[in-house]
Amino acid sequence: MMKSTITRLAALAGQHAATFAVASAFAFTGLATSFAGAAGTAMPLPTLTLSSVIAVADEPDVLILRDGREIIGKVVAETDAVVTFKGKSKGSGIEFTNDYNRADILSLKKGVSNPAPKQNEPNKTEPKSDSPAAAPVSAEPSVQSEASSDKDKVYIVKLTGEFGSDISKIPVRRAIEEAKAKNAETLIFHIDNKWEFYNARTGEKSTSATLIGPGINQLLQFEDMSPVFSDEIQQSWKKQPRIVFWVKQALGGAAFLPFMSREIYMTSDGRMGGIGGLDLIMQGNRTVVEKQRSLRLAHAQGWAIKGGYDPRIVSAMMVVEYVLSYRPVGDGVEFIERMPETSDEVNLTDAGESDTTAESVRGRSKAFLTITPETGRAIRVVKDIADTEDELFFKMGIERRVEVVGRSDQIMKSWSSGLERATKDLRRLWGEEARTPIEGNYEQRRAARSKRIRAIEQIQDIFKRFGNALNDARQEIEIPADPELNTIKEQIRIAQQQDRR
Amino acid sequence: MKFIHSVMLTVVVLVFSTVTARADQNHIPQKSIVVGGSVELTSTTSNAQPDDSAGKKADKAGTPVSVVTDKAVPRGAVITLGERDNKNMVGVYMTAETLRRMIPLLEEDKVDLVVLRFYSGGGYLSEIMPLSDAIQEYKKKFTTVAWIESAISAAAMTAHTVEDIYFTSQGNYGACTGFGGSFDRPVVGRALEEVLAMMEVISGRGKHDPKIMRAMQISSSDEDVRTLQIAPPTGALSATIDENGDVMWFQDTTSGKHVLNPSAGRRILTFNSENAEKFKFSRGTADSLEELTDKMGYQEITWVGEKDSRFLYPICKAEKFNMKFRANTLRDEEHFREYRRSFEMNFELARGEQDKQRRGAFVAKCRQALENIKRMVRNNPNFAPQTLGVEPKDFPDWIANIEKELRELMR
Repeated sequence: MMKSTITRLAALAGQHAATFAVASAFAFTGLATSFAGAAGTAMPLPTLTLSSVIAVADEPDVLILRDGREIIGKVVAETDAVVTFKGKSKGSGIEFTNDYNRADILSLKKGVSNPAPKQNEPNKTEPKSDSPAAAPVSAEPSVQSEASSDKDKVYIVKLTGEFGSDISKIPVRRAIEEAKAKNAETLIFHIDNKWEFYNARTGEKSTSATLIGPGINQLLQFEDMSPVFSDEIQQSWKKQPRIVFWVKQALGGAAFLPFMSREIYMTSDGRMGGIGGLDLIMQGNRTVVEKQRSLRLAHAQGWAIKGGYDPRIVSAMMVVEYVLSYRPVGDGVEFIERMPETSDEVNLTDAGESDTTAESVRGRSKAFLTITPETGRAIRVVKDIADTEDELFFKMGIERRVEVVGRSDQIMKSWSSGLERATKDLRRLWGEEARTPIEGNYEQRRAARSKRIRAIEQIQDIFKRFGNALNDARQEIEIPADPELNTIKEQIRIAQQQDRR
Repeated sequence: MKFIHSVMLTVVVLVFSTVTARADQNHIPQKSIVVGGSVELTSTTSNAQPDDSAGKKADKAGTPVSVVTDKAVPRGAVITLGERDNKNMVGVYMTAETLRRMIPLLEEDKVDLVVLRFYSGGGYLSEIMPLSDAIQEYKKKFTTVAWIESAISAAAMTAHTVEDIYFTSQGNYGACTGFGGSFDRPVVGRALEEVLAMMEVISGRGKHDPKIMRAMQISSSDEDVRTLQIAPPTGALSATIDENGDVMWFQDTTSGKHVLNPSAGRRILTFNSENAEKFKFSRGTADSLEELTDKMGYQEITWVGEKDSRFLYPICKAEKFNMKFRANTLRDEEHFREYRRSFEMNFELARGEQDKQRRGAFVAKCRQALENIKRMVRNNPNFAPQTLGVEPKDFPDWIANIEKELRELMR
């Protein structure tokens, strides 16, 4: 059964591979709908300096967490392990219901008629007499200014667009440098990378996380940029910032990024994966191919280990043949490399045994793991779910003192528009270089050669400026690698030397 | 497409690339092969200790290590073997010659302990044994440890010379299957047996059970191994950790309690930091010099070199030299074709030119290109065979002949 499933998947992989082989020539381009503007984009948060939660009932319950957060609301349900609590975010007014592990709870007071305010905090349930009851927030400025010295400077980097080009090390490094200059204490990387591929023959679009092939190869691009998120911060920041990844969509190489931090949050529609099918890609001698797969898996596992995650999670995300289940144990989980055998064990991947085509195309394949908010929380990869920035700050426990600093949006946008311009320039220059005819009299021939050399030098300058982010453009425009460009320049120079008046 | 290949170089082409170039004869160059020798084929992971050094405290694994407190604090240096940005191929950016050239610089810095930090996706098979020999020289002069960020294929085979191996938490080590050029050209038959034998010798040098390296070189599957035209056993690997914490290795999937190959659906072994440490292949995981100092069992080490915020370790004289070597190698790798093309075209033009003055101009260009080639080989002698097909020892004669031809052209 398993073998036949794998064969089926292999056939599917072959199909994808064939498709992508063609598609890569032209279709990995940015036709995606941008998620910018959807959940998770910037919202004004200046008033969130006090408790972000208000009561949802006359006699609210008060939940005090070990991280210092106090949540006022109502207990919805309780088990030995978990308390389900309903509260309301003051900043956005959004009601939320969350599960809290008992281990994270310091105390739970039920039916508190007048929850005691914290120091410097007005009583939320009884608005001040000089403040409109409907707008308790307006009564807060004085407290806010008192608390301002205690603000947590947060720098948010939005990682949108194509992984490897829009999301690449140069702009991220610039943003992180700015965050450091602004004395940010918390760095939030909000990932929502573009993920769509077009079938070259049919024009059919796919955004499925179960596509096989394109994601795994982005591991190398991820490794290229990984020091920016780890070693460089470790080296250059005196006080290490708190690093948080907030995932809406992290597919392909971007799926490895969140593993750089112990704190991963997700939007309720978030997904992390797109790196499955390692055992279905590449062809050749089986041992040689096995070597390639083995080293890639170990590279990927290493990043999970570095972030403090179980490497088996990455194996489940990448390898179809791999079966992984888990069992909740206390505050954590225990992973088991087999199908569940008892009722408390939950299966994550089953080598595609249970897959139907319908499930597979909807990204619900169990051939490999795509982390969703539910699964992510269950296996303790995702800390919590947040759909807006203020909800995120709340979940992070910093909603009372947050101050968003910097202009990372501008940095990332200007990088992306620079990339776009650079791609156009490359196309023009390479065309110009190739088109410039060497003809006319000696002076004209000489001028034409100089123009070709200048064009090549400008092309090389562009590649130097943008690094690997222009790899796709180089491929698409078919510009040779630098050594070949150097040789072409030399040939032009020699031809000029040889030329006579 | 070509570009993809060059980008993949760090991890993919890492393989025994020279096997293609040189394996027309389908054998490994003689000087790279050591068959036999005194190999300790122990089935228990060695608890080899580093040389007695100052400031050592109790060994993490529980083995007592001599504590010498009356010596000065030991002086340590970090030497990188490979770095990011395509500067990590074994035999090109990591060479035995460069390792040897660094020894006097390390001695000048009065270094006691050398940390070889590996970041490489592999490379030339022919360089593994020379590198291993050079590391053996290091071991005689310095306490030598390996610190693995990434050691794949030829890089792992090189690092295997070292007894004390530490990992960074994202470290990886293994995937040592040799192939030539494309995935359908594995090293097979006698040539593969020779590489397996060579690695038994190197395993002995590093006091690692040779079964581990075999699992990194060949598949755990009978069927796969048959296509490699070699004798059993396969690269299957299992291990048992006994009550003393010693690890016993088995070249099958049934004798040991834990199966390492195949694992997670893979049939070639590549360690990550977790399983390397669990099975005591690695002596510990460290992400900073402080952690490494601690894991090595030292209370204090004076790390020599200049501090540089770009690196996790100070840059000593030898490392500075090493980095310059790699930068020059990269420049020459990018421009070699230009040097060669320039030489060839100007040489042809000079030969066809009747006017002596114009011929002189072409010859001058030839000399300029030749100077670049000479400088390239001075920096990295391996370029002579790799780019010109000339053995380093024959290079002076090769140059002398060309210079003679250039002189004749000017008559």
